[in-house]
Amino acid sequence: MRYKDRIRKDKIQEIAMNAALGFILLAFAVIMIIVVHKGIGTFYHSFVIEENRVVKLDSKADIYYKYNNAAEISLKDREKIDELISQDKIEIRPDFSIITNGDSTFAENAGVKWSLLGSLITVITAIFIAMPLGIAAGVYIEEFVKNRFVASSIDMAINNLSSIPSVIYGVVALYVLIGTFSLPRSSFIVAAFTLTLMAVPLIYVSTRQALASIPLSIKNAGLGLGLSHTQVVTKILLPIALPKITTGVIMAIARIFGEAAPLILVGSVAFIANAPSKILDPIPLMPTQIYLWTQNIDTAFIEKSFGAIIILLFINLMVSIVSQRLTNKSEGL
Amino acid sequence: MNIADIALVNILFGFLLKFLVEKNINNDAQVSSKIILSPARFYGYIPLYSILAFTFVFCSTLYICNIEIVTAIALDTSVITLISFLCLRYITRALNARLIHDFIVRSCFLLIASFAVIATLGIIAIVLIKSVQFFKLIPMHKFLMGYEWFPEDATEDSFGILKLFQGTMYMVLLTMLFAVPLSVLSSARIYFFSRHPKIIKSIFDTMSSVPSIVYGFIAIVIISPFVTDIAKFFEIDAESENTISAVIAITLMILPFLISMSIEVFKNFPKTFIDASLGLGLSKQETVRTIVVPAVMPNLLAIYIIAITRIIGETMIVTMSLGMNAAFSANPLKSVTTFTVQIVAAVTGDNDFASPVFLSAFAISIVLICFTSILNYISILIVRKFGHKYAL
Amino acid sequence: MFEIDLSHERIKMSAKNVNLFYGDKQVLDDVSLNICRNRVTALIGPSGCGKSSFLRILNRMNDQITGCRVEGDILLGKKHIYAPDIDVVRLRTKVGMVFQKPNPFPKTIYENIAFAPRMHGLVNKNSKEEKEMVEQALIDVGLFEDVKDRINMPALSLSGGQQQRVCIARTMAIKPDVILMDEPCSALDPIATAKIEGLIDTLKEKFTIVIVTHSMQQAARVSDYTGFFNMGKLVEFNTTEIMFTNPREKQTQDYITGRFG
Repeated sequence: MRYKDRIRKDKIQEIAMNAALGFILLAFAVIMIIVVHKGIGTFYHSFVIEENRVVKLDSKADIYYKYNNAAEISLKDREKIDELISQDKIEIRPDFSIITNGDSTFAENAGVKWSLLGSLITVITAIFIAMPLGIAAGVYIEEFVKNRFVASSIDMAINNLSSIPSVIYGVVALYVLIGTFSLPRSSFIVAAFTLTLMAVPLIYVSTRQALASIPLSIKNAGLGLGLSHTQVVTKILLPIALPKITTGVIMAIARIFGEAAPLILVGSVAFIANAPSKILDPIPLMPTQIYLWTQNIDTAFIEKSFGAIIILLFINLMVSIVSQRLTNKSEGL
Repeated sequence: MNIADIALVNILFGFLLKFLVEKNINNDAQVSSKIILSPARFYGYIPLYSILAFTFVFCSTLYICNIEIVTAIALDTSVITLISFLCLRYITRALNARLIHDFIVRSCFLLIASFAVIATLGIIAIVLIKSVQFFKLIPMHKFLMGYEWFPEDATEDSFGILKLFQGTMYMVLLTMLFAVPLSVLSSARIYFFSRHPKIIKSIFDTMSSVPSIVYGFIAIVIISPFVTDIAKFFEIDAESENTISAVIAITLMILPFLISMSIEVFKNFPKTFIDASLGLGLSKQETVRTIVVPAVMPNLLAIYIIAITRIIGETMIVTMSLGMNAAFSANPLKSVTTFTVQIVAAVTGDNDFASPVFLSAFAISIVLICFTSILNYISILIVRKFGHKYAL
Repeated sequence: MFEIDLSHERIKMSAKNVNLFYGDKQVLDDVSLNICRNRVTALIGPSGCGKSSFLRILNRMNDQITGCRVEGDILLGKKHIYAPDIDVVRLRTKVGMVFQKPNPFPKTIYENIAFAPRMHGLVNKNSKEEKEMVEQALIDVGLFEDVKDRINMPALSLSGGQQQRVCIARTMAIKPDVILMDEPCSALDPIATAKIEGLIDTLKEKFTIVIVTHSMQQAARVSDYTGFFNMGKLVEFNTTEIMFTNPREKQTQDYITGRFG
């Protein structure tokens, strides 16, 4: 092949690579910008300023004022607003009701407060229960099971379970908890159970990988010093595997925090405006709250959905940064 | 005096007993100047664990049933005395306490692990049993071979999954068509030709954990109007629920995962081969094209198969952007339906837990589980058989 | 096999008619030898001759290998170590092992040495006895001067030779009767090897040492008794002096002069 042809091929390849990467980065950047652009509006709202009071405009008027979008506002209201505008009585002020309020049928007051708290409590409970289950299963099957056939079949089953579509967990939970045990839909216990079921295989896989990555020589060293197998596992292997297991747990947290499909099936999309007080009360969760809002065609709710998505992405970003820091720290060891 | 107090007293007594037993053993050893078979602390753990276990069981039953506090205290005291007597009598120097302790620790692991295993195996079992119930109502060959899917009719012929299969495969095909070349080119660009591959990779790592509902929402609100606007501009007919928006959204979702994993694959390729190639006068571009990519092809394939399982299992994006209508059209501007969407459709609304509609969700689930398992197994096989074992 | 006169020695461990099978494959064939107390016994032979497997029998490390079967008698003192009522774990506190590739735990140097004695209840955590024990162990292996300022640094930050000495130190710290060494210097450079050989010489005052080595020069330098293995059989066993100057078997002579192996 002539040298010129080789250079030409290389050039084409280089252009293709740059185009691909550029295209991807561009696409993501554009989407991010649009999301932020549309969602930033949730964080400020229009108010009517009068001598002795400040009145929050309702959502349709707010959309009209902020974006000059008269599609949803009635003619009468529009004239009223126009008059207030000419009197300079309308002002934009920062508004964090999306964080401070629970859900509401009125878009101007709707917020994710209870959903955020609900997600937080449910996810923490689910991880709390799933962690010992997953870690114990991982340790036992990796180290203690004598019959390797049994060990590898159970391992294969749980590994497969960690990659099946998440809806299936929702269907099973729906049938078992709501069909058979008649627990109320949307309740805390049902949501927590579903998320726990999802988290256990993830944590199990992390634990097994973490234990398998420890070189056999460490185990031999421990045995050669006169420690029993159980002592080697609990006092040497587990502490060494702990950073990787922790990373796995955090990734499981990130994964189940944003899961919507199984929770929709068990009914967490009911409209829930107040905080739960008992274990059987309905509890709202972030992903299902967002889903509920997206079913609403009000422009105001779409704006709120973007805002909620920004919040969800922010939380995801935080968790992801923590997990990456941990991975880097443990790899440097 | 209530349950918590009883528990607290028991626990404190447990530690006291532990201390006593250990002291006993140590004194015994010193007096007879014989060695003890295990370190002293293991002898102390046995009474401690017994009392903790008893306290746990006892207080749980107290919480559930209703027994008079006085009788509870009496029962508790007598059992604790019995345990103490047994421990002080039978825990002697001659006992190898470490074996007992190890047994208790392993049993605890086994107990908790079995909960996990039962839960996971239980999921598979329930899906299987319910599918069998479904196949009693709807014959399996009509399910697997039938094309039309309209569960409202609830006849034998209205549960054919071929249309769903077609829709799912169509989406997978289109998505991988876009995603594979983009991911290979960009991951090679990032790993081999950029100055800070680690930073860019960590950005993509972060992006790969974005929940899919975000992409679903983007599909409805951003991508779909964009597509319909373009279609209108070219005067083509397009539905607001169109396949191309879903495909774009799924591609966006799967790209960070693909890029991240592809970079890992490149990372695991030994650098000595690249050095050898450059030393022979090939350019870096040529090396990547003719040496690296062919060598890591099995690993990349395995990753693509895992990505395909993820696409097949994707629920939120397709539900939100394609609706639950069971349709198929090769026209990307119209909608298709997938397995996961129909699972959601079968289960939404009021459930009659014995109806064929509800049970169909389990049948589709078992199909999906089989699919995912087979694909996972194939991906492992590919790496095992065709992956290089670098003897370095 | 000639019987050699060991009446002036005390026998610490002995093997009589030992056959070892990994599944169907026979690895050791009718091996009998005696390990003398406070002496260094070297096992030499070509690769795959079974010397490492024999070493691992002595502290039952090969119990982990599936399908492993041992026939014959192996005694530590007067006890049969393959008797069903023997606690393997306690056996290994009496018969310690140093491995081919240095494998310190990913902990600090202090923790590496103190860990096992603490587990066995010989010392209490962070007690004065523990600190003294760690220091003494480091002095005994000749590392104390080098690492006394960084005793709380990770053990993996040391050089290969130093890591291996940490491994020897932690084996010594639990005060076994016998120390088994499986090619301890094969992963080290010549200077580190020389240091460890010097260490072995001082160790034999307190411990009984069995060392497997593929280097005949090392066996000649370090050991009092040498056994030559070939294809699972113990071909010859004698004092090192006789083995290397006037061996009785032709196979031994061939191996030592380098005709094979």
